[in-house]
Amino acid sequence: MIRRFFHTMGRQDRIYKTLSEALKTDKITLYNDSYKHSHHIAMKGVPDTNETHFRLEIVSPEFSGMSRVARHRLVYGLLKDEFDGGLHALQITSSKTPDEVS
Amino acid sequence: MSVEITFVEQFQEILQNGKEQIILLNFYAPWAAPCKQMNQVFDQFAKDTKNAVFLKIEAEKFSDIAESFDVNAVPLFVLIHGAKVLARISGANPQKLKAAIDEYIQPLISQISSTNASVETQVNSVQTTNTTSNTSKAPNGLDSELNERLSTLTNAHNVMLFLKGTPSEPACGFSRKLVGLLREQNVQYGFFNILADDSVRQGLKVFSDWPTFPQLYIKGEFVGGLDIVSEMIENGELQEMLPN
Repeated sequence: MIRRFFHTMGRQDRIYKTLSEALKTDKITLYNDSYKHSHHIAMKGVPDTNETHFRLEIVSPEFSGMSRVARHRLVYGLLKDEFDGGLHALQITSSKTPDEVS
Repeated sequence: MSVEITFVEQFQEILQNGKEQIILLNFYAPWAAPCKQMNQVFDQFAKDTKNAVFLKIEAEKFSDIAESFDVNAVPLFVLIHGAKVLARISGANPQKLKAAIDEYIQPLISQISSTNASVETQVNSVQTTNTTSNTSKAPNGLDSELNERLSTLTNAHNVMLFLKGTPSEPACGFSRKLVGLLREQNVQYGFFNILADDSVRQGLKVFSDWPTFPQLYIKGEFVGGLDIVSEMIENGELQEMLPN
């Protein structure tokens, strides 16, 4: 039952689920920007352009002591399956620790 | 002496080999009378100025190069050192051009080591590649030959941008934005269109440990994508990283 639900879950929900389960997070905000990119040359021939481009704002204490690149790599690494499966871009517009937010 | 650019790779190679030198670019159009006049002036200044590279670039023929320097009208003269644009002189104004040469080139010449290689050597030098087949793997899991190629590419210029499309025709919004940001910051950069070579496109994801494009490298070091570069510009960090 759970497995079937997971497979019918959209990419946006899967990203949210993956990040919130793998990281301690104070905040995850995920925006679907796919509609802005569906007409671009690079998207030619892509079968489903509804869930290809997302924008993320994330706050996690686990980012403490990590460089920007390391924070982004951590998030990208957790979502490797999504990138392999058709996620084209995840803009991480903010990746902060709770201390950096306050 | 001044050198006429005849192909893009020649230009990129001169920039790569001339990192320590001051380079003066002359963007011109053969049909424009002011350009004809300024080309003569430019050639004379080139003869009189030692240890600087003077390049003539036909703007319409090399639209990608012209676009990356935001050339809207000719003649346009751009003075660069490393990855930084020192001055832009627009129009047929020999006095302004001479003033820029005196202001920037003469003081800098004393600071930088003169290279033994002449411009001609730089233009004609060919990078030798190992033609023996090499199927061994690099530590990151990439084929050694591809890994070496990516290493060469990421070091091909002080600042190297890997994007979808070209600076004049970016193929995605993120690439377009990053090109715009670099232009605003007057950053001179080399670029590679990853859509033209899938082995580079896929290989660079592993090489950089970064799954998306565009990707920016400075002095062979991975810096980040659009988000990180935007943040670095806001904080003034990017300018600090750029080579002098």
